[in-house]
Amino acid sequence: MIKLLFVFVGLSALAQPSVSFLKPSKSISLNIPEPSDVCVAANGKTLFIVSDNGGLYETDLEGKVLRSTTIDLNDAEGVYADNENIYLVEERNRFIKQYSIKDFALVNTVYVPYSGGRNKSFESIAKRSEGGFVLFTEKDPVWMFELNEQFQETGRVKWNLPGDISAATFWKNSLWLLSDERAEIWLSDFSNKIIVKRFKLPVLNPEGIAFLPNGTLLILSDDEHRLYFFNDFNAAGDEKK
Amino acid sequence: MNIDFIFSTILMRRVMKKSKVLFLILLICSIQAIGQVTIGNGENSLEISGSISTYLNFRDLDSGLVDQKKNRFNLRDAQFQLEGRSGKYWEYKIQIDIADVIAGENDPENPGLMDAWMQYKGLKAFDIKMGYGKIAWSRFDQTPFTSSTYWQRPEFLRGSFASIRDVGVELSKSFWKQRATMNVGIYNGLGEVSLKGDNDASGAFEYTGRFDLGWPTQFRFREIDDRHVRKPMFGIGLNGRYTKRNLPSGSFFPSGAKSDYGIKMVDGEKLTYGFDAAFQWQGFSAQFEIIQIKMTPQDSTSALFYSNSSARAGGNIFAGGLVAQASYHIAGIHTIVSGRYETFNANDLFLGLNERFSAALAYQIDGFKSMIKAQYTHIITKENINAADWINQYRIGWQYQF
Repeated sequence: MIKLLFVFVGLSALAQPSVSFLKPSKSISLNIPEPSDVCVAANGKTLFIVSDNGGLYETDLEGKVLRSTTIDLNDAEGVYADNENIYLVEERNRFIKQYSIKDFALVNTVYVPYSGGRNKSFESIAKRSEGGFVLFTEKDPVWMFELNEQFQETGRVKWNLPGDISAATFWKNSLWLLSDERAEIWLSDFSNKIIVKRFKLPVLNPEGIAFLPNGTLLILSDDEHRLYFFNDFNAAGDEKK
Repeated sequence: MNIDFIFSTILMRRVMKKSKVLFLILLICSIQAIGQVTIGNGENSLEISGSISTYLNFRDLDSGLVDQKKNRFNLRDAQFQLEGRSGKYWEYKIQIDIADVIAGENDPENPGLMDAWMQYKGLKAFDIKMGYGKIAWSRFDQTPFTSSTYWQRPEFLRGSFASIRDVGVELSKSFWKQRATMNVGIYNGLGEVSLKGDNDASGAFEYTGRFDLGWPTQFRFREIDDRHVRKPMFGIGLNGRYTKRNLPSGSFFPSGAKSDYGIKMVDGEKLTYGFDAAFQWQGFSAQFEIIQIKMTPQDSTSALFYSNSSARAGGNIFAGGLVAQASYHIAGIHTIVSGRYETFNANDLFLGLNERFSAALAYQIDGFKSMIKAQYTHIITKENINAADWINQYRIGWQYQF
């Protein structure tokens, strides 16, 4: 009976992509309360970090706050920035808010209806290179909402994943998903909605993911108030040896 | 009025009562098909959720005893929960267990009304919560039942030594990047009986406080490390409660307030203090908790002295307990194994000590959302105060959250 159990566990493990363990090259402490997501500015020189309790911060690459503003969101969980705007997603009340990068002025507010769990809703916002946005819900289940440039829903797809989603980002045309509960990042096949590679993180409560232009992976920890750096992620997602 | 009419009336009442239960269960099941649901208008949000749990129980009774009434299926929980948020700073919660409301039970560990409070988070100095709910006190008490592998908490923390819930107000504040939290509260001091309305004749209140510290981050009230954290995590807590309830001559505590061990309410002073600790790493987790209660009855002939003179006892009676628990989450087969040792003394002037060992095994069908739990408890020694009439208890059941 015990042998059968081991065979079952072994076969189950074979069905999943293998897991690689990542080691950070450095980490920095953030003076930002409850940081819940991070993105890299289009120029690659600064970071935008959003806080659970309604703060938006622009920092340098060492986490030093350059400017900040209070945003009218109850539970901001996702952030994305392009050349002109910053987009924030709020989990509880299902809002997307668009702010001007130049002066943090509110440009647009969009309501995206979702009746799932109050604290299991939108955790991330990312923009596709083809245009349009994707939102991911946290769990129970994990839904990917596809929105056009006007934030109108164009599709909704359920992902079967081994854990929750706390952040998502596109990097060199690949979709990277971050799981808080598993403390893993997943290189994903967007078309087939499956995980291709899994990487284990030595981070507690990871809630934000981003890539610097040089390929350095950034992982933001909410509970630790820390930003972790993992060097040299190439386009295939393998850590250079 | 003939016997047939009386019998049919009684039968009809039982059928009606069971029909109400069946209707409510069907209502719960229909909502279960929908799952956790949130309604919102952009400013306010309300989440509807709940849980159902049922178990099968058996006991090995003490020698010579024959009453097997505890060998049974029991609907432990049929809970609805409404959690809402209004604007940026207001939160509220109502949680009710229909199974216990219908049964008319007021088990402190599992009462009919579990939460009814509102909280304001708009002040910088602290958050303020008012209403009925859990007192920030014991670590084991604050750990949600649905996140535990066990069907029962340690015996001395199930609400008979000190109340788990009460009506009152609580202030809380987190600092040091949420690693530390301080809670202070003022409550009626009657525990779950406070819901009946009046205080006792002393008109006194209970004052509570708890301090939590986690490292390297805040340590949430969870028993199981299902995330297999890759960094060791530690948490410690200190708690205290104090009340002075000198009943006027000829008055008594409300019915149901004193509990089976006779120490939940004291006509005099009662000071409770405790320490707890928790650890988790790579799927392994452990908790430890110890409490001590110092009781000073205003009446030197109080029954709590158990025929000892008050002077001999120094005017005080002590009670307390400690529990140590360890668990391991086996990720590959979605299984949790756990063991617990507890010892408690309801009165230091009375000979004897209670010791129990429990083992628990849980299989996670869908995480904690749907879980089969089995618990075995063995009584090692008994203090002859409210002594259990059994030696071994076996319990297996299913919990489901929606």
